[in-house]
Amino acid sequence: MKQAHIKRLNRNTLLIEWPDQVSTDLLDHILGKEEQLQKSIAGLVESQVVYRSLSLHFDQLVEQRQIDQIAEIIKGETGTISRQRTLWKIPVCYDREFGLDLDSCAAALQLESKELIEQHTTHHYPVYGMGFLPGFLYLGDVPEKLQVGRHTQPRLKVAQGSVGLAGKQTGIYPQESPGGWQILGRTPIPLFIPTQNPPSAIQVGDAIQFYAIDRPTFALFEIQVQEGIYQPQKQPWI
Amino acid sequence: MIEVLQAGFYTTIQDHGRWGFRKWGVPVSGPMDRAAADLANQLVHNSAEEPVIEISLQGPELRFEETLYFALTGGEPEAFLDSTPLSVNTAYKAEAGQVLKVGRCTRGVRAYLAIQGGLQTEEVLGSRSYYSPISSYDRLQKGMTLEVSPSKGFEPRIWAVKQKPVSFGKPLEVFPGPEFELFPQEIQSALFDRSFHIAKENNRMAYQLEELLPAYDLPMLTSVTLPGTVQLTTSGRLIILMRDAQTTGGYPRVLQLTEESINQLAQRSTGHSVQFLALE
Repeated sequence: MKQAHIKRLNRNTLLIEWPDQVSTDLLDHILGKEEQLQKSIAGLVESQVVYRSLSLHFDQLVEQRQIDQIAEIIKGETGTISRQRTLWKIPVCYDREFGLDLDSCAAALQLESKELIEQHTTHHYPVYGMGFLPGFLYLGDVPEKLQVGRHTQPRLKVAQGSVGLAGKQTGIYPQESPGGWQILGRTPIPLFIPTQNPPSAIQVGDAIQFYAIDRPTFALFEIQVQEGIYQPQKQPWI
Repeated sequence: MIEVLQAGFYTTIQDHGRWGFRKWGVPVSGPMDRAAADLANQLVHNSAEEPVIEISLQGPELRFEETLYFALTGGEPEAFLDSTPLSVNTAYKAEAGQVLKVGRCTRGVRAYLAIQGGLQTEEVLGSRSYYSPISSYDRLQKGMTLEVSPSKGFEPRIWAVKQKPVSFGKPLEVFPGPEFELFPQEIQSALFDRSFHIAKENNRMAYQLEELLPAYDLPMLTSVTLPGTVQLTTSGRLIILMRDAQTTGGYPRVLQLTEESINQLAQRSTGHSVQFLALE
């Protein structure tokens, strides 16, 4: 399961890929390896983990001796992340005003809308990566009974904070953008703030759980965010 | 200070970009033709990290509110300091009150303007590069003012350098991408045997190519992408990611451009031809 291949992406970048699978065990293993590499490989400027891939970005040409050193670290069986992973509780208002596809989605899944909300807020969704747009989370492990296809015709504008479903993924639009996901609701909490460093407290390997809030609470949280007094709800995960 | 009298077609500020934020999905950004941008900085003795003004197709009109040195490089734009015509790859002195008018690029599509001492514009996540919505602006706006800090007593040691003109016919040198080997021989060889043309969908994020390759479905898990990554979509469309590239993508990565190839492509636009040349 842990057999990995090292490829060169360009002169300064390596890509390490593990077998093609989506699992938190594999993700943990990769994040553990990333931690080890960051400690021991000189010249490593940054790294990125998404699903089963780890990229290593250097400030100059990667030499063969560095690749050999990396291969040694990757081979070792040990390795899981040492930091505590966080379960982030994200408030979502599922009112029809925001949840444009809630009813049609529930019908397609043969659920009551209320059941769909219950199901969507029950599960923990691991963060398998970030990308596509700044702050966009690749959230996985959506149970089969919540898997629903995208719109065949994407919307030209989906509002920032919109929470949606698409196949095996659920996610949050970090900014207004075009998109084809089935929109269930909206969160008032910005998950990516470019003027802060780091721009998001959420890291790959953490997980998200949604919880339902009503319209007045949505408005309250919006004000708290504006005033800078919103306290994110979180707890240690696994 | 510099006042923007006219913004030009698509004028941005670019430095060496945002490093260390890939894991949050933040594109690196930076000058499309990095070699030309670096040369502009060299001419006014700036370090390579200083931000430059990137001009696309049609340049801006700027009024210098103080005396400073500047240099233009890249796509050979028509340019005037008040009524004096200017050349590329040359350092010039502007007196307070003079107006720099940069017109159309005559060879290539991107030109660079470096200001001695750099620009003190907004810095977000370690970079002054424009990339909306990380930065407040996506391009220069008419009426904006840009803070500068020219060094007192500065004199260029070399006023002008000779540069080979931008070349449009040169094949782009590439490495095979991580998924190259997974494509049938027919597609692999078509990538190198055929000639392509740049579609009208080309910008700082990506260049699409006009001609399609045979459709081939190669589903893959989302993985890492870089500036210069060439994606091949299920319908056979080639997409070359550029400096504002997203950091992840779900299309197979067939090729990877070298840094030099990215710079060369950055000077081409709609209708220009593209050929790939395998390294090694």
